[in-house]
Amino acid sequence: MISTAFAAAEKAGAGLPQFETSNFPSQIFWAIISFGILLLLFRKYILPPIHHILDERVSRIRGDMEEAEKMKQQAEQVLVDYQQQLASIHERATEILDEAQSRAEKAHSKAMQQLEEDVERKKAAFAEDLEYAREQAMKEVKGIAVEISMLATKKLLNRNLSREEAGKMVESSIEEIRSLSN
Amino acid sequence: MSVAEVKLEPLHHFQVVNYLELELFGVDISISNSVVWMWLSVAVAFALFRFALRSPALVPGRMQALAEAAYIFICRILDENTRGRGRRFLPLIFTLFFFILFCNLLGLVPGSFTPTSQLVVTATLAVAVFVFSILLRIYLYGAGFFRAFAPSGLPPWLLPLMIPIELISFLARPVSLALRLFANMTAGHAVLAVLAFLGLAAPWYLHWVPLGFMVVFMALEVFIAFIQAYIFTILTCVYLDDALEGQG
Repeated sequence: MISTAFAAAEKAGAGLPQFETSNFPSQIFWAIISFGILLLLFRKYILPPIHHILDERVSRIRGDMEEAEKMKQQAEQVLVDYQQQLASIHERATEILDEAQSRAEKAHSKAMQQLEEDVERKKAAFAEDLEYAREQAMKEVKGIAVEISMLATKKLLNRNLSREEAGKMVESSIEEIRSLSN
Repeated sequence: MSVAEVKLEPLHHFQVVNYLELELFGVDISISNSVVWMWLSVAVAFALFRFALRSPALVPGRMQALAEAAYIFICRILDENTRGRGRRFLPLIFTLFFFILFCNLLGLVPGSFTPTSQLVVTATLAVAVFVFSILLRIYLYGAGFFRAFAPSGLPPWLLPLMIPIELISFLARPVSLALRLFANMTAGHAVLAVLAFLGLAAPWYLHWVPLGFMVVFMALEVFIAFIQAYIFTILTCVYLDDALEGQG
């Protein structure tokens, strides 16, 4: 098949049609003209807009980046401010807390003191009451003892002891017991 | 279509056909299919970029992003190869890349013509680049241009060897530039044509084999269209860099 093709080509003439010189001048001429026209067209209508838009994009991106940098710095400043604020708030809160605590402690200790005093006073009053009751009881016991000793003496001696004598006897026996116990 | 009717001429679609005979000062400037497809490449390239940039916005749409990517791509090629000194040649390099690219790509449309498969077209571009770099070097460094062929720090006795080598490698630049693009385009299209003829000439139950290959090869050709435009552009940048360097 290929050999037939070559045979056909050979029959057609002298090898490649590209080596036929008769059409060279017009092709050279029009190649230069076409190229020149395309060069002019590109130069006038295509390359400037592309160049312009690329430049514009570069400057836009640069501007945006600068702005972003500025905003970042601002944000960092805000963060620092915020942190400072937070720190001061924290400090203040601690202060308030401390104050509240000390106040509460003071109140507590005051209340405790009051309570203690109260208790002390109540204890004293109670002791007084106790003393009084004891004395009362002692008096009563003494009275009963006098009565008993009077009756006992009356029974033993068959005589009546006067109240004064019985009292003296009781007093002297108490004295005796006290001296013994001492 | 029967086998007998298929014209087996894989080189047929490289044939330049004049549509309109024209002459300017005795020089033939006829409008041929090659010329028309050059115009179409220019028109499509410009129209696409124009469409992409119909309302340039800071936040680009898809097409605008693509146009910007193309611009940045060419800028990077230029900056990498000229170490940032060649920015003023951006329009030239940009046009060169897209002129070649669209000639290559439009040539892949079935029934079209590929101007870059014409040696004379690629040679015109290559010689233009070559002459431009020479003129630039002379403009920048005057007669110092010729010192480029005798690299500094070389022992004098090596000069008879080095100067011809440098000269040949210098003169080979436009030749290799022109031939590479021309040969790649021609070979690719010839293979596509051969595959197509094979497909049509094969029995009907075998059509899919060469035609299937053609699909794969078409993808490869699109890739090659980009690669060749890229190579041509890069080498142009390298030559520009040499010109800017002065001492070469």
